[in-house]
Amino acid sequence: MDCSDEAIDLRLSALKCPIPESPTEDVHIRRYPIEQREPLRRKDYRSGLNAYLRLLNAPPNAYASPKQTRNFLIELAINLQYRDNATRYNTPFDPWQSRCLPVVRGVSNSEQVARALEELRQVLQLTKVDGVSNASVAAAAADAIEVLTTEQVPLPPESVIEKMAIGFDTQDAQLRNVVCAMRLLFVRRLRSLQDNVNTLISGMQAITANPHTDSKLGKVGR
Amino acid sequence: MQKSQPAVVIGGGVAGTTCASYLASLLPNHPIILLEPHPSLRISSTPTEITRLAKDVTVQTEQTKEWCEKYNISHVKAHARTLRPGKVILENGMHQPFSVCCVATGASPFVPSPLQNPAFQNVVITLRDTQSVQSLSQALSGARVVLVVGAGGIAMELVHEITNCRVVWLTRSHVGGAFFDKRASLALATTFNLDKLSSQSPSDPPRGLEVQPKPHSAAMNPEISFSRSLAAAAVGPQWLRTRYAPVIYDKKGGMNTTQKSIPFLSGGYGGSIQALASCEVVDLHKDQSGRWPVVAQLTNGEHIGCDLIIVATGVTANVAWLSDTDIQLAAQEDGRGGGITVKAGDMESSIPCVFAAGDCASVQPADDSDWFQLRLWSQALTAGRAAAQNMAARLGVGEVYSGLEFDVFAHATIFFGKRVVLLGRYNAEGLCDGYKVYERDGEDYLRVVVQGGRVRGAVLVDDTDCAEVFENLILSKLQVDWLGERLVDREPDLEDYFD
Amino acid sequence: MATKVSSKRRLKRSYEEELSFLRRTAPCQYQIDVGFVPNMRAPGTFFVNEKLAPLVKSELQRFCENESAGGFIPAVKQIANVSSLPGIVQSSIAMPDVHSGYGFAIGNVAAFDMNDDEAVVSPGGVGFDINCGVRLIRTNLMEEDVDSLKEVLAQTLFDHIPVGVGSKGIIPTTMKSLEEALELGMDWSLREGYAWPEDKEHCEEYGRMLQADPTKVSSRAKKRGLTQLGTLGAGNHYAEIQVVDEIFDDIAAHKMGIGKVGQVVIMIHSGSRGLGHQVATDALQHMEKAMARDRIKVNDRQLACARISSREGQDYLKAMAAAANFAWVNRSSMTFLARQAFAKVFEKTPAELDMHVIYDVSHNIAKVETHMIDGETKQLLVHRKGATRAFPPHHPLIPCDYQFTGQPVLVGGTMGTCSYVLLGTERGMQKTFGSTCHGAGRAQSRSACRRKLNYEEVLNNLKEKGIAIRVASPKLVTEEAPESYKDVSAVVDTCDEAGISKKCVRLRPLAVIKG
Repeated sequence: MDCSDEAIDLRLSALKCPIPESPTEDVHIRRYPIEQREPLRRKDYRSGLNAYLRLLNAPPNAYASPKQTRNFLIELAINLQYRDNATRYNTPFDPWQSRCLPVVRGVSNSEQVARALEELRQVLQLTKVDGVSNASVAAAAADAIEVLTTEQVPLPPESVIEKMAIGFDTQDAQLRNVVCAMRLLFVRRLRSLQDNVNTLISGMQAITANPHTDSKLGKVGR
Repeated sequence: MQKSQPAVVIGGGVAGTTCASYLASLLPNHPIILLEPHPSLRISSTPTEITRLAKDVTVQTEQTKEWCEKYNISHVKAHARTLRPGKVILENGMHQPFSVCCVATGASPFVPSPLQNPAFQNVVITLRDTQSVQSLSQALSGARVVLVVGAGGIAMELVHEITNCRVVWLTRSHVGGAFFDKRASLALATTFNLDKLSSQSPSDPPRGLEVQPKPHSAAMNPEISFSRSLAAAAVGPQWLRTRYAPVIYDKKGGMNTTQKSIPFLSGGYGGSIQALASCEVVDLHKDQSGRWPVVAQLTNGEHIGCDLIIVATGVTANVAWLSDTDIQLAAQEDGRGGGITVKAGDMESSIPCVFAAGDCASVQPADDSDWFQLRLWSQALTAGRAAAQNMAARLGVGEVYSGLEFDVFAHATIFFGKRVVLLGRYNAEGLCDGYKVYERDGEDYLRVVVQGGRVRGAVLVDDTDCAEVFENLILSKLQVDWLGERLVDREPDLEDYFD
Repeated sequence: MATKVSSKRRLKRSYEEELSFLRRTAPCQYQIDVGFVPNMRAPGTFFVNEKLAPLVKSELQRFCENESAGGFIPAVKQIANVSSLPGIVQSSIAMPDVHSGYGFAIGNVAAFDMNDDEAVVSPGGVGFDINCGVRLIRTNLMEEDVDSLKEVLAQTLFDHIPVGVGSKGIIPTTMKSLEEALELGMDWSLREGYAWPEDKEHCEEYGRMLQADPTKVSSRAKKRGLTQLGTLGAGNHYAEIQVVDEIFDDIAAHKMGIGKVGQVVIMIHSGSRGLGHQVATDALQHMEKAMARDRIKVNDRQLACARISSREGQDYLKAMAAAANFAWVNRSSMTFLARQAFAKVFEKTPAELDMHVIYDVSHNIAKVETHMIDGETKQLLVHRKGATRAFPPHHPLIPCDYQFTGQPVLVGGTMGTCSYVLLGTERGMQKTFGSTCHGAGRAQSRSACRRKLNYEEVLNNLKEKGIAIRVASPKLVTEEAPESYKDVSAVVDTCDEAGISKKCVRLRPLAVIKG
């Protein structure tokens, strides 16, 4: 995931979050009491920052570089923001239910979904892939939600999930789980599709195979 | 032509049996007849490939009756007297009608007149018919010195195969004359001068025709195969011209004892060869001292006592029986050759529905091909198959022959323990001026003939891995003039380069 | 600094000057700067580690110091020449086992923009042996089961797999069935009943390139293919019985069904032989003629090429696809025969022995693929010569079974040395258009090798290692000897370090069958 400032800003705007003009800690995280935030504002904030991160139970790679630190902080901030909202509205934490992507829920609303997706795509400046219409993306997304909420997928052990390549990086364990689940489901479907294809081909072979085939002797044909 | 009539193959040699068995597989429901007076046949087993086209052929004898039964071929045990459109007339006067016919009567050894001396017929044998393989192995049993006369392909291969006794090899011109021109022959002298002795352990199975020392001679297995075994560098004859000389019978009755003794390597395997170029037999005498069954007098004045004389001087096509037909025959050259003319790949003679394959045929190569005929088993095999395919096509089954075997000459053999591969016009046969020959000699030998920027032929001795590359280059007609003489350099890895 | 004039009068640079164009940009990565050869439109890239770098440089040095007339150009120059072809995208890339070849170096990957009218396709970028590739078949046998039967197995495989012409059975002997095979590829094998549907699933391109057109294959090429179908071929083609020696990635190995050390597998390395050669040669000749018409200029005559959209270009791609199909039918035939051989020796059916194809890769081929370049998706014609496709996990073109692990890449070693199974990575996708090495290139030329090694010694060496050999011709040994190959481990390690593929399993040979 692109960690440049622009990218982050883009994402934040896509999520219709107010872009933090002021340091995140002030507005969103508010972990320290106000007095203790001073060290973070200074230019030589490093050591203070490390202590701060430890307090927040940041994962190891958040310390690695300023970008990753910032990434972590913003993710945390967003999380907290939503949590705040969630408590306020008394609904469980459900990313699909956030104000930002309400239309996806409505399966019947494919037109709206398509438009919303297009908007989203433009804001995020994502490449349009040829041959894939927004409608089909919408349908796919809807399908995914349904599957995720209805099908049971036996998750492989934690170690496997950790190692499993999902195609992009993220620290968010929950997101990771979701993506893993979707991948597993998709591949499971693919597998059954492939099995059907194989069965079909075997059936065809029973008809078309050369009558002289003598598998024992390794001979086929004349 | 009456399509319902049987397909007839005349002759049970390599070409004939290949043709008949292939016909049997193409026409499982059609009667096929093999006309062969002998109780045993020469057949070839599946050849192994050296390169795509150069095959290593193994030839065995099998009993005619059993073999024909196996392939569901009818065997008519008779000689053919002559041929008329649509039928073969047999010696006993009966007629054998056919729809298509393949003449594969082979060729007979040409025996130089001094060797036709009736008094010595028990010690002079030729190698062209079925029986002689057996009689050869029997005759070789206990031989001390064998005289091989001839520079043909068989002679070259035979000379290598005989182990355990001394061989004196006479050739009319230069050594290896059938295959190599003088220049190559000289270069090869170095290549073949083996100074390293590789030994075969006593427990290894014998290669080729093993000559048992007399006390141990057991009944010979009638199925002796003339095998070209592939594990080269096993012990074999070494060309040790200067170091060893054969037993030379002194006219005055004494034996020349200045020669060194024969080296016998561990396990009793070993032998030696002396090659005498430009040498022929002038006469045969009885040995006064009784040591030798025959003494041969040579053109160079020497007298050589020996136990056996093997004649491999070339062949004449067995087509005399067709003299009363108007079938087209090729011209003879000094008593040899002169077979039924057919076109390469086509295999049909001037008489419709009569095909010819093997030594009895003279195959005319196609114009732009790099192929020519040599009377080799591998060519007999190819010819037999091509004829069969065309015969079946004539009867409405399958397609006519369209393979590549007649596009590039390819032959693989072992000469003095080293693998030799010959491709295309390796002696620039038939090429007009403007061709170049690149050579490299030493421990291995490579010659490439290039004309018009394309490779037209190649000779590879020992270093035969590039054989497939050159074959590809000949067939593809790829331009290689930019390579120049680096074509034969050791450094660039040609095979990889053209991968 | 040499001035660039016509190719004939170009002043030769010194070795040091040439070296200045080669810059190390990462631990295992070098860039060939523009200007190394004339007309470069993009830089060149090659991947080598400290062990392999000297080999590449010494080739260049020899070239600089010789007045050699014979046109063997060192690999680095060839890589750069490819970068001067119109339509080249990003860079001409070379794998750690790179060495000189006809036109393109062997181990060269070059992608051309399908949307660029000027972009070209070149048969030299595919190679003469079109779709020369490797297939790996697993079994559920362990080394102990096979050890005492090694010789028998080798002999049976040898007897079954036609290294000779004229064997009955599996080879279509009519022109019609050959043309069907050219068009249908592995589907032909399936139709005839001697491949399993799972084989198709686990094969690159699913064993058939759809754009194949047998009418674009010359009759001479077809003649050459007619009797070669199902045969092993000479040179570096072989079949090997191998055993799993070490596992680097447990999960992936398990997914391939070879999760146990000591498990027996069969590797088949073969291509399209004479038919491929003829197709390539025919195309080179046609394209040479068309180059003047289309005003294409190249640095090296061997880089004959044509505009992708031109008739010559399209004809070649269709003929190449047919030749590729031929090679897949070839490998399918051998798979069938290998299954029969094992079934015969162990008296169980191939299914009971779990003789499934793990994967089948090509390393001489050109394909149209979609890649991300600078954030955009592009359709590229990717030439891979002596390089293997290596797609990462979740790529839609790789089999379902390998969606999480990535595409298996089969890297054949040589007689007596180990082979590897690697996995495609995301990094490889970005850096090399999803490509990696194909096997060990040669450290010494074959002939040089032969002079040093005595083939009996080599045979004995192999016997000592417990490897049984069956060869059709004695030319086998010395030049295929382990010493003559760039250390395959060094090559594979370099790819690993550069991140363009990663090691999964190492395999050790037990028996070899060579043509």
